[in-house]
Order: sequence, then C-alpha cells, then structure tokens
Amino acid sequence: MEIKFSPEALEEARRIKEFFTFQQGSLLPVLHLAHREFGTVSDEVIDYLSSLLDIPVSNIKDAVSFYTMFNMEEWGRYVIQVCHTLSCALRGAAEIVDFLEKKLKITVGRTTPDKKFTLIKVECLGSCGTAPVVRINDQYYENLTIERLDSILDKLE
Amino acid sequence: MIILKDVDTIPNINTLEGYLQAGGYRALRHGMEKLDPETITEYVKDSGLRGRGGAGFPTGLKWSFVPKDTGKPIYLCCNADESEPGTFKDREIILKKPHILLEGIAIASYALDCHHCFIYIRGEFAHEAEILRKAIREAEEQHFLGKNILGSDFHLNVVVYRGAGAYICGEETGLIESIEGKRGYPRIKPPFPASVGVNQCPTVVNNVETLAFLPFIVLEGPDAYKRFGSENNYGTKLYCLSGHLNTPGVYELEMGVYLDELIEKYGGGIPGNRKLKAVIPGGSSVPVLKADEVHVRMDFDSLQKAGTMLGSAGVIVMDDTTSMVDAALNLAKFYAHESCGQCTPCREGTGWLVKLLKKIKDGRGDKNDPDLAVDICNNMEGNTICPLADAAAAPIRSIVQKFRDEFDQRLG
Amino acid sequence: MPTLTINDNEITVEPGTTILQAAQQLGIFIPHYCYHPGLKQVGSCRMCLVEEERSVKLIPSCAYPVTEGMVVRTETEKVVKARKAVMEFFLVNHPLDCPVCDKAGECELQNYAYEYGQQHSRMTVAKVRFPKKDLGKHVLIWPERCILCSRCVRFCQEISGTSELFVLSRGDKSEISVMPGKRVDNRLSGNVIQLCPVGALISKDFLYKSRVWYLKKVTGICPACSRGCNVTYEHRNGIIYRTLARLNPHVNDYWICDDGRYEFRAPEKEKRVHAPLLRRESHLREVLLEDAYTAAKMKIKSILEQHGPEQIGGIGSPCCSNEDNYLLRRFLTMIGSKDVAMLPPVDRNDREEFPGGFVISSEKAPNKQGAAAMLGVPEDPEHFRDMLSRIEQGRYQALFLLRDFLDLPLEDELLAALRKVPFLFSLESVRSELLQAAYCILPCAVFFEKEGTMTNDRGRVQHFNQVLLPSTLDIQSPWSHLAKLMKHFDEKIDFFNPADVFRDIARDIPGYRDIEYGALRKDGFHLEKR
Repeated sequence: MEIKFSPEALEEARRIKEFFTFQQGSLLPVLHLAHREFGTVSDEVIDYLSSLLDIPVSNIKDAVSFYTMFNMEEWGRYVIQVCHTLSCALRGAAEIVDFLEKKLKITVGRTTPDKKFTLIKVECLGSCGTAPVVRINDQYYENLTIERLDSILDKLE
Repeated sequence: MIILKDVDTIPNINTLEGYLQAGGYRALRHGMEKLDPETITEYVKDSGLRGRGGAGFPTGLKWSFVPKDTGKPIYLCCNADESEPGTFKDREIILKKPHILLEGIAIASYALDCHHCFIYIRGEFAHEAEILRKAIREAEEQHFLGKNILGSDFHLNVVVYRGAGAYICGEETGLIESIEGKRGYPRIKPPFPASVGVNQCPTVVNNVETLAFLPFIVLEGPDAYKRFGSENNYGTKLYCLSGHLNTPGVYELEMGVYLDELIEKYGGGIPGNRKLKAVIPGGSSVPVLKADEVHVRMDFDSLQKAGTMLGSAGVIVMDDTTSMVDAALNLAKFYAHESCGQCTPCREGTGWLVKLLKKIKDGRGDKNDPDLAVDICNNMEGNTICPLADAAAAPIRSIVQKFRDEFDQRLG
Repeated sequence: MPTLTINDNEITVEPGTTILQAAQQLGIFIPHYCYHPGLKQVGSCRMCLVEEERSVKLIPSCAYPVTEGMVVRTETEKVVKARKAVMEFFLVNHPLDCPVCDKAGECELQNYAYEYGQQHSRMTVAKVRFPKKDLGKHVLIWPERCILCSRCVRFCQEISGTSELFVLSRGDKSEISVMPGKRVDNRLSGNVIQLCPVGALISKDFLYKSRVWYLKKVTGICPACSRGCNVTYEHRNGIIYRTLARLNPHVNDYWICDDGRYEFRAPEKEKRVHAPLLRRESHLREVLLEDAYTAAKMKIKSILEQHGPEQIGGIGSPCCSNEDNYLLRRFLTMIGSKDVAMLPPVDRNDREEFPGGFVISSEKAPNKQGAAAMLGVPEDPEHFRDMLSRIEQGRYQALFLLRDFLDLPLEDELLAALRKVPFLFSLESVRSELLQAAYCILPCAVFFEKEGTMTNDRGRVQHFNQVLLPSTLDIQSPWSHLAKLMKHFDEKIDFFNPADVFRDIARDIPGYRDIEYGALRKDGFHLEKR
C-alpha cells in the first residue's frame, strides 16, 4: 500500500500546516488525520509525513510513541478499548475483560486472526458516572452489562 | 443552578437556537457593551472564582499575571483534557450546553485581549470535539465568535485541538507542549505560562468549568456568584459521583455540600445496602477518606483541613466489598502508565510502586513493604517538575496508611 | 547584576546565571546529571535540588536563574534527604553492571551514589529490561543503564543539528532510540558517548579495551584539521586507547569530531622510520645518528664552497610544530640560504559547519598558519608552486624537507622534482617513496611523540604535550635534529627543549612577540591581527 494522502486529506493537511506556523504545531492534528486515513502511524507513514511537514522523522516518532492513541502497528477494524481505572474497575471492568477474552478468543493486547477486533485495556475514559465504559473506535458505550456488550459486538460488521 | 441551569427543561439548549432562547450570549453582549476588559477582570477577581481543573487557583489572579505590553499575541487555552479518574463534568458541559463554554471563552478572551483560543480536548472525546466544532461554526455564523463579534472590531479565532491519549497533557505546561506538537513534557515553572506559554507568548490555561462560570459572573455580577457557597469557596460546583452508587452522575450543587449528603441523597446511597468503606473526594489524585470521615463539606478549604483536597470533585465511592490493596494497585497502574518519564522520581517511583503493590497483592510481600510504599510516596513528593508524582503519592500513601491492616494481612 | 547568598557566601553574578553556575563560581559543587554547560538546560534529573528561603519546595539549581536576594543552601537536611531519594530512584532500574561496564571509574552514578546515596538497596522487584542496540558507526547503547538525562538527544538537536536520537515511549518504558535506517552517523557522533554520564552510550572503539583508572591522561591538540581542537589523550603501555574532547571556549567548546577522536592514534610501527639513513654507494644504509649529522655537515659545507648558499633550500610542513618549522628556517639562515617554502596542506573539500557552531575544516593540516609564520612565507600555495618549479629546474644541490605522515602525499610531480635534487635531506616519520630519492633521512617523531606549539586557522597559538615516547632514541622531533645539526656548525647553539625554541620564536617572529610558553598551556594565546 502506497502511503499517500487522499486529495481531501492533503487539502486538510495543507490548511492545518498554514494555521499552525509555530514549532511543530501542525503535527498532532496531521497525525490524527493520518491515523484516520491509514489506520496506523507506522514508520512508513512517519517518513511520508516528515517530507510533507518538513519535520525530522525522529521528532515525529518521538511524539507518536508518547501518545497512546496513535498505534504504530496494524490494529483490527474495531479496536475495543475497555476502561479499567478505578471507577470502572469498581463496577465490573474485570468481568467485561474476561467476557471479551472468552468471546473473541484472544488475550488483551491482541487482534483476532480475521483482523476484525483488537482488544486493549485503557485508562480512565472520562465517563465514570456511566461505568463500566467501553470505547470501540471513536464510539463510547456506557452503562454496559455483559448482555448489552454481547449484542453490540454481534451487530458490528 | 448556574452552569447546568435549564438543561432539563429546554431540550435543545445544546444548540445555538436553544441556548439563545435560554438567554445565551447576553452576558457577552453585556460585557462588551456595558463593561470593559478591566472591569470584567475585576468582576472575576471579586467573585473569588477558583480554578475548577483541580488546583483551585484564583482565576482573576491568574489573569492578572499576563503582561499586556509584550507585543506578542496572547493565547487562551481551554483545558478540556479531563483525564483525572472519577472526573467527567467537562464532558457533561460540552454535551449538554456547549455554548456556555464558548461564551465563557469569548468573555475571557475579551478581558485578556486575546484573539486565539485553543480548546485542548482529550483525543478520546472525538464526538465531543465534533460537537464543539459544530457549535463554533454556528456561533461564528452569528458573530458570537470569529470576526467582528457582535458588530464590534473584536475578533476571536477558536480552534478545537485534539489530544491523543496522555493524562499529563492536562497539566498546563504539558498541554502547551502538546499544542506545540511535541511530547507532553511539563516545563519548569518559573517562567509561568502567563509570561512564556504557547510559542513563547503569554498564555492563560483555564478549565472548561471555570470558563463556563464567566457568563453568569459578568451578567449577574460577582455578588450574585457569592450568594452561593461560603467565603473563599464561592459559587457552585459540578460534583461527579461514581463508583458504588445507585445514581451516579454529575450534580451541580452549591459549593460546600456535605460529602455524606452527596453520597446518600444525590448518589442514591450504596447499592445492595452494603456499607461505605472509603471515598476519594476530589478525583483520584487526593488522599482517600474513610467511612467515618465523610461528614465534611465539599469545598476547597474544608477538605484541605480534613487532610485531603477538593481537586476536580470527582467523588469515587467504595463499598465494603472493595479490596483497598486492589484499589491502590489500580491507581498506581494509572499513574505509572501516565507518567511522562521526564524526571527521575516520578518515572522510577510510579513503576516501582506498581511492582511493589502487585507483590503485596499476590501475597509475596514482606513485612516492610507497606512502609516502603509509604516511603516511596514521600520520596517522590515535592521533588518533581510537575505534580503528577504528588498526585500518585497522595492517594496511595493514604490508602496504605488508613487501611494498613488490609495490607498487613496480605503479607507472606 | 543580581547578588545572592549560597551557604552564607555572597556573590554577584551576570544576569541569566543559574544558581548552579553561581555555586560553581564559588567553588561549591552541586551534583547533577542532565545539566551540561554546552547544552540547553532541562532540569529533569532532579539531582541538583537545593533549598531556597522563599520557596516551599526544593528547586532545581540548574534551571533557576539567580534573582536578587536569593538565599540558597545546598547541604541542609532536606536537601540531603532529597538527594538520597533521587539517587535511590536512579538505581531502581539500573543494572548492577559495574564489573563489566566501561564507565566504571568515571561514572557519575557511581560517584554520586557513593557520596549522596543510601547504603542498601530496597529494590526487591524485577527491573525494567531493554535489549542493547547498535546506534551508529561508533555508538552502542545499553538502554538499561540509561538514566534519561537526555544529554545525547539535546546534543543531536542543538550541536550537530542532525536529530537522530529521540526518546521512545514514556514513563519507565522510555528509552533512547533511533529510527530504523537513520543511525547516529554524523561526524560529531562520538561526543554523545563522552556526554553520557553513565555507561549507557558506549564507544565501539573503546569497548572492553581498558579500565579507565589504568589510563594516563595527557593534554594535546588534535592534528586532524586546522581548527586545532583541544583534546586529552589517554594511554597506557605505549598505546593511546582513547581521545577525549577538552574544553576550550575559544576553539572547540566541549566537542571534537569523529576524525580527531578515532583516527590518528599511530601509524603502524612497521611503517615508521626507526633509524637514520644515509646513502652510500647509491644505497641507503642505517647509520649512527652522530655519523648522519657529521656527514650532513660535511656535505653542506662542500656544497656551500662549491655552489654557494643559493643552491640550498628548505621546505617546511604545515603539519609540523612551530618549533620544527622555526628551526628549519633558522638553520637555513645560519648557512646563508634564503629559499624556503611550505608544503601546501591537504584539502579534502569536506568542510562542514554545524548549527551549534562547531566547524570541521577541510584543510587537514594543524599548523598552516604557524608554519607559514615561522618560515616567513605566505600561506598561498602559489609560493610553493614557484619553489617547485625552481626545484624542477635543478636549481638546488641540497634541499631540507620536513614531512609528517599527515602531509601531502608524494604525487608524481613532487616526487619527480625531488628526485632532481642531488642531496635531499628528509626529516620524516614514515617510510615513503623518498627512500629512493633521499640522500639522508632523519627519523622523526609523530605529533603525539612531540611537545610543542601550533597555531590554528583562527590565529590561536596552542601548546601540546608529548603523549608517548618514540620507540628508539634516534626518533626525535625535527627541531631536535636541526638543533643538533646546528650545533655542529656553531658550538654555542643550544636548544634543550621546545620552550627554549619558543623563546627565540617570541623574540624573532612578528606577532609572537612576548608570548610566554608556560602561559600557552591554558586555552592558548590569540594572535592579534597586525
């Protein structure tokens, strides 16, 4: 797969670069864009962005490896992020993880062989009042029970 | 109350139309037409508004540190990073009434002579970022933001900047580093962001909730704000209730409500009629309170006297089925994961705490380990660039000290 | 100019001075890792925490500029406790590698742990592990030993401007890394190894070669190019094991390039000229040194009688010291000869200027300016070309040539010309094609077997020390041979050491008037433009 932005993404990157003229300010917004376009911020993507933004590759990798939302490998189509910090832990996060591991037949941190689901544990998602909370890609699923989660997963293509 | 007023009665208050119907943007008009920047700053100082991000620093005072004569642009950063465990109030504001935040931003910018604002929102809030973008566009169309606000020559560019999964970017200098496109390593203070912030320019970082109070203060005046709460702890507060409760959620109440009242009356008490064991009152970075310590007012000063802090008012309730060793380990893992790694005590200390607590939890601990954990916390505290180490030390040390028998029982 | 008090000592400092620097000026030492005077400060290691009266928390002295009226204390109970705490945190994940680590003996972790740390380790859980990595042509990393002071990262960003190194990941999983395919291969890469306060960044060249406490240290000047960077050679048993950069704020700051650091340790022994050689019956034979001098003196006397001093000339070397070149000219003057020139320096056309201000010159001769001044010739290579044509025309019966192994290689043109000289006296260190052409070869020391002075390309006269002894007594500095030869002509002439020669240089050479030899040892002397 050749790493290149679509024309729309390129236009958006250009606008971002124009707006953030200081330091490397354009980097994070463009990384989000790249993540959306390519699904990952691998070393090839970093090389591409380096020439696009005129930022040294090591500076980009430095930032990418710091922020947890940019994954540097290939993840599945649906990334299931289970919050396991205190409030969610108190309301059954561990059971949710157990359930998901059994249902998907993978352990935390792994992707299913058909590359559909990746299962990871994340820190506080900022919705503790509706714990337990799971985020799948960009979508929050709150007030979860095992049953609800089960049917949510079954509905995902 | 103040911020969440009318959210239950006006269903579309999250749109510009509904917000205007509820009286929105009148404060901005009042501020720009009847008052001036100095007066607005005076109002804010007078009202005693204290930052709602966790530190409780007086907002008017923070604004007064900004030098107006440097010739450099002044930046306002709205801190919507909300990653403190137990805290979810800023999301509530953005979901229910985004325009109150935008109006607060406009007022603050007008007072500070600032024309650029970044709303730094945590990356996981993708949906909320979209809501804000849409609200900004709506507001710009009607000249509440953007160019020629309310027909004047004041212009303000508000940009939503998404974070990417780092709690440390909620620290104000970590936030600034992140906006500059780097890893979120906090900076040494001094110099403070008011003098050297984004791109070496004067910068003010304010929490979402703090900014959301500004329309009320400007329109109704500081005395109206001071009718709520008590001296030095004025106004209302969005309390976040979570954990073992029947009705968790965000409750805006007068500052100073009693914690036990919060738990019983608003949180609905503990499910299954179990007993209370421990409460963290201010987001996970503060010392824990035991069940017999909860008759205390939930404001900055009262909680400080009680040996803990109001912080972000993220109340996490734990009932008697909770293992406090597990709770301590859970929090230790959080801080170790979020430590940026820049300075030694935090980087090594948080990792060490996780391993030590795991050792105790697994039954392999020896008799000095709980004391060692306390000592590690003491050694981290105060020796670091930013308060993350203090934030890790406070709850863990308090849990080990107040529930020492649980730890001793686990020892090998 | 703010005034502050440190441990009850008052001092007034330049605005912008940090507390740590002010303490250094007072001679008070505050331990530190991440601070380095050649790099921007970060204040992240937390070792330099001190107490200041107006602050509740301890403050990092390396990152706080002095303000008027500060009262600082560096040895209170609170500070000592904090240092112990920070030291313990450093050692939490640090492997107990001292027995196998190159840095032992010069490791700041060892030193401060001894001075400021605790006696016992309380670490009873597993340490974080990382694999070792090969980072570049000269650089290895043991990330487990790294204390994340970020000096190496800052160096690559600020000084070399190449930004290869960065911090990967966060928290205690942080490690220094490079992008695959983008290794630390810039020409200043060796400096990060010298910067590293612990044994994380290791030199491939020095790995496991020697314990540092066995090495003797001698200061010198790097001969690799005309910048004249200051270095320290570390040697033992006749081998130079390591070359380190030495601070000179006027020349090279804290840095040297990789050429100076890793090359020029020694030409192989087999290639050296060990003994004086004299041509008898068309073969070069080894002779005693005295016999060589005597033969030279007789030959010169005979040429002077038969042909006159105009037929004797000399060629000096921009790679030999001021003393070497000065005595060459002095000798020629003594016998009445005026024709002298200088070999042009090798120019590799690889000049590089780095963003931090460091420059690698393309001229690979450390003493072009000095030699030209000593010989009284212009630096312009045209002058040498003129001399060369005169040699080709056969105008010289005898020629004295100074040549160091760093000098211009003997290409066909030069060699052919030199062959035309019936009596070529060559003072060189390495066996070369001149073995076919020379009448007499005197064995000379290479730069680290000599002591003397050199003048760099910006007009700074600097002193360098002898590091190793030559392998035979016959191998001497060119000035020493010339002094002894001159003594054969005039009994009264005596030069015992380079200082003696330099005294005459300071008397005779314009621009060098009144420079004191001893004063050159610190930072050198900058010649004014006349």
